[in-house]
Amino acid sequence: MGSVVGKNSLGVVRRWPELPQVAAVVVMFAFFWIMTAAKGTTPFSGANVANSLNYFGEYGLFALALGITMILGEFDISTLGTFALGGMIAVKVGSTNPWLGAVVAVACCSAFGLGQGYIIAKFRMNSMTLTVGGYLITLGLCGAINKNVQGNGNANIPPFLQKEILTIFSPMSLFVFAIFIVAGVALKYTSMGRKFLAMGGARKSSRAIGLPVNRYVTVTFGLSAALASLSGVLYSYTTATSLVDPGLTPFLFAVTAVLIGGVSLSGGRGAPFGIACGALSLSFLYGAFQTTAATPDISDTVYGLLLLIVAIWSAPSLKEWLGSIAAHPIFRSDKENKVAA
Amino acid sequence: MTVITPTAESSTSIASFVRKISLVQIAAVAVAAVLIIFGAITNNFFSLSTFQGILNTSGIIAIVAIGVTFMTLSGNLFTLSASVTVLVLGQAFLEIVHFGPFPAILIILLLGAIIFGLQGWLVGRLGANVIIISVAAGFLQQGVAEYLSGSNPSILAPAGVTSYLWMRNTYGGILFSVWAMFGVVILGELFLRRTVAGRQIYLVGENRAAARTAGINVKRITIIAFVAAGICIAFAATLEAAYTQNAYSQGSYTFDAIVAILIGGTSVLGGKGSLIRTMFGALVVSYLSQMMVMRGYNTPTRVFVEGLLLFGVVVVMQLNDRGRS
Repeated sequence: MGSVVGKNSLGVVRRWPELPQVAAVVVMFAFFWIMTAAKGTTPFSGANVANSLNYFGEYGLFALALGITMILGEFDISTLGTFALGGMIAVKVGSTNPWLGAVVAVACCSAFGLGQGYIIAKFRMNSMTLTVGGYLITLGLCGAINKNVQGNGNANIPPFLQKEILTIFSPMSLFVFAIFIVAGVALKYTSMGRKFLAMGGARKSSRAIGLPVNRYVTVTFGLSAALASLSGVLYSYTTATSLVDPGLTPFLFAVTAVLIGGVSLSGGRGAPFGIACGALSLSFLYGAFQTTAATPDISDTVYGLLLLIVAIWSAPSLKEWLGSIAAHPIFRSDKENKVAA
Repeated sequence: MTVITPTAESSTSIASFVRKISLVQIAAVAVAAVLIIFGAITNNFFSLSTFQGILNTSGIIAIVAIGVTFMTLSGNLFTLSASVTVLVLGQAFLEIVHFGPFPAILIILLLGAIIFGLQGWLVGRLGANVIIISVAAGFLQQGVAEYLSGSNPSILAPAGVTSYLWMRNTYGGILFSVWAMFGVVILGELFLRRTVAGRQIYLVGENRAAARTAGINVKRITIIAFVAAGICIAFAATLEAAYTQNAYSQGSYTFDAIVAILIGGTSVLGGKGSLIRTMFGALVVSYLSQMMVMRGYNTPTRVFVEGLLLFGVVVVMQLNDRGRS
C-alpha cells in the first residue's frame, strides 16, 4: 500500500516538477498566517500581504539574476555589487527624472556585466573568482559615486511603487511578476531557452555540437547584471535611499530563493517559475518576521538555518551519505546484520 | 680596446631567457613597478614609520588570509564569512578573557576549529557548495552572537582586566600581531610541507580524482583544511579584539583575505601556492592601503583598486595556465 502511495505521489511530482516549490510557498504562507494571527492582526489584510510582496518586489529580480547564472552552471557574486551600484546610480541620476535614472543604471550595469561575461567566456574562467573582483569594483564605484555626485532619492517614487492594486499587489510587485513570466516563457518555449538549459547541463557537449556557448555566457552575465541592477533600482526607489554596501542580506535572500526554487548548483536545471516560488516563500517569511517585529537574533538565525538546510538538501552527496547511515549495522535488523556478516 | 660583438650563442640565450619569462612574472614586475612609482611620488612614503605602519596593519589580515589559504589550497575556494567569524569570536574572547588570556585563547581556537570543521564536513562529506555554506554559517554565527549578547552590538573589553594586554603591545617597534603572523606562517608551512596531511592538502587541491584514486581520504583532508582555517581565523579574532579592545563591527577581512591570497599567486583552483605567498599578498594589500590613505584616497577607491587588481591577477593567472598547458 505504502509503495502504491509512493508511486502515485512520485507520479504527481513527475507530471508537475514544480510541486515542491509551490508547496514551499504554501508552507511559508501558512507560517505567515499563523504568525500574524498570533500577533492579533488580520493575516489576510491587504497591508500585511502587500508588505510581504514588497520583499518579492525588492529582491525577486536579484534572485532571478543569480538564478540564471546558476542555471548556466556559473555563479555571479558581483550581482551583489551591481545591485548596490544600480540603486546608487538611479538615485543620483534620477533625482529629477526617475525613469532616466533607472535606464542609466541598468545600461551601465549591463555593460559591466557583458564585459565581465566576455572575459569569463573568452578565457573560460572560474566565474566565482572573477566575480569577486567584479563585486569589489562595483562596490568601490558605488562609494565613489555616493561621495562625488549630489542627489537624493525622489520622495514621490516610494508611494507610487507601493500603491495598492487589487488589495495585495503594487506596481512594483506586478512588474516583477511580469518579468518572471517573460523569463519563464523565454526559457521554456524558445529555442534559445532550450539551448541555454542544454549548455548549463552539458557545457562540453554543447561546445562539441557547435552551440555558441561563449555568446550565451557573455549575454547571461549581461542579463544577470541588468536584473540585479533593476532590483537595486527598485529597492532604492522604494526606500528612497542608496546603499553604499548592501552587506550579504540580499545575497542570502537570493541564494536561498534560488535553491528553494530547485535550481541545480551544477547547472542545467531550474526555471524562473521555481525561482519566483522560492522568492515568494521567502517574502512571506520576511513578512511574518516584520509583522511580529522579530528581533535580529531570531531572524538572522532562521535565515541562516534555512539557507543551511536548502544547501544541504541540494548537496550532491547527501543521498549517498544517508544511504551509508541507513546501511550502518545499528540501523539494520539482526537478520540483515547476519547476512552482511 | 676590446669590442664585444653579439654572437649567435648570446642571442640564442637571450631569446631562451625571454621565452622562459612567464606572463605572471611580467605582470608581477609591472605591478611592483607601479606600486614603487606611486610610492615614490607620495610624500614621505618611503620612510621607516610608513613601513612599520604597513607591517603593523598587515598582521591580522595576513593571519586571516593564511587561514583561508588552507581552504584554497585544498580546492575549496574561500569563505564569505571570515569577517563575521572574526567579529563573533572577538566578542567571545572579550567575554571570557577574565578567565586568563591563555585559557581564553584556547577556547576561542577550539570554537574556530568547530565552526569551520562543521563547514568542512558539509563541504567535504556532502559536497555542499562552499560559498553558500559560508554565507549560511555567517548568518547563523551572527544570530547566535546577537542572542548571547542580547543584541548588544558593542562588546567592550572588561574593565580592570589587563592580563592580555601584551597581545596589543609593540616589540621592537612592531606589533605583536606581526610577530604572530611570522609564527603562523612558519608553523603553517611546516604543517603543509612536513606532515602527510599537509602534503595531501596540496594533492587533493591539485587533482581530487587522482587523490581519491591514490587512496587519500578526501573528506578527512577537506575537514583538516577547514579546521586549520578556523584556528587561524579564531587566532586573528583574539588579536583583533585584544588590539582594539572592543568588538563593534565587521572589518573587511573577508575580501582583503581573498585579494591577499590571489595577489600572492595561490591558484584559486587549489593545489598551487603557499602561505608565504599569501603573507606577501597581505603585505601588498597593506602597502596599497597605506599608500592610498597617504595620497588622500577614501575607502571606496581602495576597494575599487583592490577589485581591479584582483580582476587582473585572476585573468593573468588563467592566461598563464593556459599558455603552459
